[in-house]
Amino acid sequence: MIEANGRTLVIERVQDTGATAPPEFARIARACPPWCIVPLSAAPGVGNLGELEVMDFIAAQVAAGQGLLVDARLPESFHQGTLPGAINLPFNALDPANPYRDAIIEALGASRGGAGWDFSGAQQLAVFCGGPWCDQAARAIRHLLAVGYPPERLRFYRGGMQDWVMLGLNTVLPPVGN
Amino acid sequence: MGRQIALALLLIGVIAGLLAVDGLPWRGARSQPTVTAATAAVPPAGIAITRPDGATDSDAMAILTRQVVLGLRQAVPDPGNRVQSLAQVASRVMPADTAVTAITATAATSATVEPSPSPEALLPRQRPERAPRRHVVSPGDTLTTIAEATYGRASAWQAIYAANRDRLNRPDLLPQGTVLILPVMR
Repeated sequence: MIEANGRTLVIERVQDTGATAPPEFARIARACPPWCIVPLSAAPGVGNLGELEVMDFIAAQVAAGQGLLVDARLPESFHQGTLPGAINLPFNALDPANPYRDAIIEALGASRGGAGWDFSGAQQLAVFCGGPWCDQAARAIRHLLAVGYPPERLRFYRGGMQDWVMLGLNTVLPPVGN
Repeated sequence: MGRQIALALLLIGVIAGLLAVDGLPWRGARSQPTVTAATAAVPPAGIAITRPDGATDSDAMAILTRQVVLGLRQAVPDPGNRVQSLAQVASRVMPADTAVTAITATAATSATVEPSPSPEALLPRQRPERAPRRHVVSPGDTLTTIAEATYGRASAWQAIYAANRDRLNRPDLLPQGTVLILPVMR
């Protein structure tokens, strides 16, 4: 149990040794492209996280209000279930083609300074998507880097939803709001 | 003003559907399960809705961005005056007129929101009916279109409405980005 941003997050692992993966994550075949196996590293300087490191990130950064666990999938996927404490930042909203993208960068804690962005107050982000066969998290990270987001404030959880549920870890339906 | 027209239009459309009144020009359009962006963006005859720029993609991105920014506002702590600036951001990315015109846009929002080819669209829609699913309200969605797409029958809108009374005040008013529970049908 982790207290983060006024919410109590519960992370637990299934103890039923007969449990199997939920159907949507039991599939082992997906069309490539777009669902190709992605490299372990999303970009130079961006750290990689495993499940335990994700939990540490939640307990340290998210709980302290300094970090966000970012689900880079589209809202429809996010609202079918996500990691405890995750927020939705769809990869395509960070694409340069989004004319409103700066609003998101600002909402992440960056501020405009001089010629570009000042990221000194920006959130630490741990980004994931559907699984090691999903490039949406890596794309989100590359979009953020292109804006100038410091790589040391970004982390990549390649395992994503797939690896999380394969280990029997719980997912949550995000709070209904907005 | 534009918003009021669009809302009135939706109300009229739904009432027309409920009363099964034939011959109303917009009734057919509203009961289509899927509509293309091109046709959906055209307002029903006799009702003019001004589109500021005519760019559906831009509208969809404004809606998506607004959702993201509002979500971040809840998640990112506020060390001072940032709430104010974020509120301004939220209103800036989605002017009221944009919201109104977006209501008339396509039901296939994910198709307009996603880059092409859309990765998610390539996945077969798996519909495990054991547990309630969710639906994020997109431009053009009505309870009827959602019911037809989800359950194959428009009449299921009543069940959806009943399951979402805590977040819907009226069956004909679906705010953008609202997350609806799609109940399990037996």
